[in-house]
Amino acid sequence: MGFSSRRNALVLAGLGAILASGMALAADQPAPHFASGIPDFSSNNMGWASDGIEFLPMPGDKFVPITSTPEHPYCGNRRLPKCNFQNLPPIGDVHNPILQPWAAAAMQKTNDQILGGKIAFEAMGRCWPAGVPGMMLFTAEPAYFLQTPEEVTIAYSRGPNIRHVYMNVPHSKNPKPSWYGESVGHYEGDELVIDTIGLSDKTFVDFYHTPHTDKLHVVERYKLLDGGKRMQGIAEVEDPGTFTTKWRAIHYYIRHNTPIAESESICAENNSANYFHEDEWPIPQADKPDF
Amino acid sequence: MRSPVLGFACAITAVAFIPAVLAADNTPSLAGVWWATSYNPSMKAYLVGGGDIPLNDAGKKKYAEDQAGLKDGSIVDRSRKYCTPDGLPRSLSTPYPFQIIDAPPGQMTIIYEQNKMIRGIAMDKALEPLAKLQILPFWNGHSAGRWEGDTLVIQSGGFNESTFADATGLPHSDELQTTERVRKINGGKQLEDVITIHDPVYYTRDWQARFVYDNHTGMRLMEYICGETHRDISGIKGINEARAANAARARGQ
Repeated sequence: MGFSSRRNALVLAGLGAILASGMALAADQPAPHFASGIPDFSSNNMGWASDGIEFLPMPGDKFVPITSTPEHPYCGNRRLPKCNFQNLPPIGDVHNPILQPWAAAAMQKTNDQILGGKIAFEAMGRCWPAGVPGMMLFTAEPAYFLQTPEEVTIAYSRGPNIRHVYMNVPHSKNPKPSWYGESVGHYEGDELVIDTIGLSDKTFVDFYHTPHTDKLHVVERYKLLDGGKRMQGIAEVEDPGTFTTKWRAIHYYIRHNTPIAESESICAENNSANYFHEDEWPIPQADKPDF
Repeated sequence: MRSPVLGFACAITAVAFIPAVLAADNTPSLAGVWWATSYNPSMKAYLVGGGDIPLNDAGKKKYAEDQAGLKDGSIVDRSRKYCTPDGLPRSLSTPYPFQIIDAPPGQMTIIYEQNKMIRGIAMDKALEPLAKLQILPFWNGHSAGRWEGDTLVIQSGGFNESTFADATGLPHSDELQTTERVRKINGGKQLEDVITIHDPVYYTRDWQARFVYDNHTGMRLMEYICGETHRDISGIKGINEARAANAARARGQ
């Protein structure tokens, strides 16, 4: 082993020791809780920022969320350095077996349009609600969990977008389909569990334009990791109108040390401009004033 | 085995979360859903003491420009066209319900159904000096609150100049600073918000506006997406008149 190799081995060993001690430290730190015992997702005046732009497979699961294809990697703004500073649009894998034929065909049509030069629609960029579970992938700006016994309100700075999760109550019999549906929740140990139905079919499941019907049923499970430094969100997705099977996905969040009182990110502030022909997808606007 | 130092640190961490919760339990609360019973596009209708809004010469000139621009379309009311936040004091005249939430710890949050507005209010520190807030101005300003007995006092500053003070085009500058005194009245059946406007750029003196909302706690806020059909607010006094006036203006009348 040459000097360089020995040095590298020492560095790696040192890094390993640091990582191991760090992991042990993290594992040893309790996640923040309120005095009532429920996990505190809002501690220390901070919010949560999405760590990445796509759902990850659940380890061991046979069926996985839609990903990009090898020939067309998805490289949004946060991935520019990894893509040689190219901004590559989302081209979803239509051969994923979770898709029913109509859904695969719809996505293929969208893929063809994007590869033909049409700008890819992004709800986040065009100020539209992302729905559920799409909202889980928002965003670089912090989201806040406002926890009360009756309701957990999730306030997403970006947009803004707001979700209301009513705690320890059943669903309505026939909720009218809406962008964020009807969400009810409860705690299971250290997890916040959110059950959502009543979703309209106007949103996509992810950035790959995976469609869904109003039969979509999503269960989200949020849990603090590393003593509250990170958070994981697991989505259990079921839609007999779109998917061949139930599937699950995982997504991670990192702390955004900005209190809600210091966070405002108004999507429509500048997006009514048309600098890059983005007006192919107009932002929400009213033809006449509401009142 | 966990180290004693780490165990102590964990104990400190655990204890640190308790006071905020206890403090929240021991302070008054305005939490709930509140909804105005009437609406008027002019802030003059809410003016405390009546009379005219005390615009100075620069304010009169800017108000006239705003009104003319809104009428001929050269100025866009972005709060209605693109549903950007209304800013203060216009937000307080909303004919849609809003929700006050005693969370997250150390903060208070007001969620307005209209335009999905979020106002975070720091309850754990005083408002920063105006010059510092102006570095990053917000549509709804930066806010900090404190309790004076059962009254919540909210001080705000650091507003951008993209909003009007009311739907008629009443102006404000980025030197606007407001103080709201918010309290329950009529045995908790109603909420009162009296706001003091301080903006020496456009007004000869400070002035106040008063807003009253009914308690609708238990009612769920609805989604509000710009351009879509929203909750029926035709029962709010003044709404039909405001909509008729908007329609007449659109017809050039």
